[in-house]
Parts: sequence; C-alpha cells; structure tokens
Amino acid sequence: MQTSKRTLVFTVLALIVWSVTTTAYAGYYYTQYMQLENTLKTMQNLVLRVNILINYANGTKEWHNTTLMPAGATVFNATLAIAKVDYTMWGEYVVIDSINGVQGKGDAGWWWWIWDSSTSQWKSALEACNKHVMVDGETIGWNQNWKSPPS
Amino acid sequence: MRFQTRQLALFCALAAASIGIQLAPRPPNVESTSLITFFVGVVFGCPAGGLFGTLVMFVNGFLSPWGFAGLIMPFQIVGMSIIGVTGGIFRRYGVPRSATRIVFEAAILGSFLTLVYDIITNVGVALITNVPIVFAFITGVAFSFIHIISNTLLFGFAFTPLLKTFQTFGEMRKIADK
Repeated sequence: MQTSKRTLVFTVLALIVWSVTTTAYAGYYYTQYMQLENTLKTMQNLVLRVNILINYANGTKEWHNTTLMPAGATVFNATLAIAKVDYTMWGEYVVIDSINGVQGKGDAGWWWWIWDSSTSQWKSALEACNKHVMVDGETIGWNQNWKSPPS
Repeated sequence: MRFQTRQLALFCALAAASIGIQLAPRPPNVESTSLITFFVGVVFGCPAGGLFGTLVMFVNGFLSPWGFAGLIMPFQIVGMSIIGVTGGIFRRYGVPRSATRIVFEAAILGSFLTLVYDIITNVGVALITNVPIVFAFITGVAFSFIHIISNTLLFGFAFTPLLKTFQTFGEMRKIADK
C-alpha cells in the first residue's frame, strides 16, 4: 500500500474512533442530564420555597427569601430553620416567646402573619404556628405583637 | 495454517501468557489480550490470529474473575477474533520500517479495534438484555473509554518492543523484509 494511501487509511480510522467515542460520550452526558432533570423535578415537588419576614420593631426587618423547607413543614419548622427560637407549649400549640433573643410583647408573644397576594395585604394568623402547614411560595411574617402586621 | 513445532510452542506460550494475564486481577477493561492477539495475527497470519482470539476468549468466558460470560461469550470471541485477523491483515500490508510510524499505526489500530470489539460486545449486551443498541453503547461508554485509551497506549508503546523481542524468531524476519 502506498504511504500516502496508508496514512489516509490510518487517519480515517483515528477519526472514526474519535467521532464515535465523543458522540457516545455526548450521548452519555445527555442521558445523565435527562435523568438528573427528572430527579430534580421529583425533588422539587418535595421541597417548598417560602419567604419569612422577622420584624424586630426597632426598625430592623429581616427577610429570609426562598427558604427551602421539606414538604409538610409548618410555620414553626420554617422559623426554627432560620432563627434561634424560644417557645412555650400550650397543650399542643406552640407560642413563640423570643426570636434571636428578642422577646415578644404581650401574652401572645411573637405573632405570625400571612401575606395574601390576592389583596396584597398581611392577614393575621388564625392558628398556632405549628398547626399551619406551609405551601410552596407562601410568605409569612413575624411581628412582636398581634396588633399590627409585620410591615 | 501449518505450525512448525517451534511456532506451535510459541503460539501456546503466548496463549498461556494471554490467558494468565486475562484471568489475573486487574482494573476493569484494562487488558493485554487484544495486543497479544493482534501480535499473534502479525506473527502467524490471519487464521492463527483469529484462532488465538477465539481460544483466549473461550477460556476467559469460563474462568474470568468477573464471572461466567454466558451469552456474551460468542460476541467476545467474534470481537477478539477480528483483532487477531486484523493483525494478519496488518502483516499482509507490511509492517512499516519506521519505528515512529509503527507506534502511531499500532496505537490507531489498537484504538479502532478496541472500539470495534466494544461495539460488538455492546450489541451482544443489547440483544441479550433487550435494550436499544445505542443505549447499551452509551451506558457503557465510560468503560469503553478506559478500554480504548488503555489499549491505545498499550498498542502504541508495547507493540514495537514486542516486535523487536520476537525478531530473533524466523517468522519475524519475514515480516521485517516486507
């Protein structure tokens, strides 16, 4: 076989190996990507993204946006996840005494509110914080008293 | 294909060495059987190369440390036989005189033949497990990649020393003359 023809044959063989393996590897990473995307979609259904506001009344407002919580988490669980909380159990109900060392005012302690996006207003909570199961995208706020909304 | 006694002894010694290395504990898909089979094809010609590949993979199918090969064995035999036959074809077209050229040609042939072997065995896996062939190949691409890279290096760096070592034998002088 002539040297030039032989060189051409071996060049073509090398290119075949390169193209097949790189294509297969691209396919491999594509299938891996699709699998991970499906896993992510499944996981997203198990995770909540919630927004939490803590109003310390001295002008300090602390937002914890897009806090990730497992599905089924309550307002109490979410608050425990972002702050140091002291609380008292009243039977099966939790009352928050202090958040990050700041005491609540009045007998009710810290009071939580829920943001109503349809009316763009805060609505006072009607249940204990450990009884409200949060939904994805929900926004809640803590204020030191029950008389005024957190913002 | 008629062996002289010395050739038969050499063939058997290479078969024993190949099977011994094949059965020894080693990283997955890093093997020297392909190189030795190819080399046997170069030394003894296409039929002997094909026979050597068949023999080694047949024994490997039963005694492999990874377990009994089962239905995949025929595909392994075909793949390895092709490597041996290609060694004979390589011999027929003449082994180049330039050492650098031998290294490059052997490395390219090593990678190509390993790819062919992996495609054949993946086709076997696909047929046995009833999955699409492309999917089988894509799933095993990481192992194929290791296999191809290791064989490219092995063919590239070990083929020339093997040739030089075997130049003392009569068969190798014939090859060098081409």
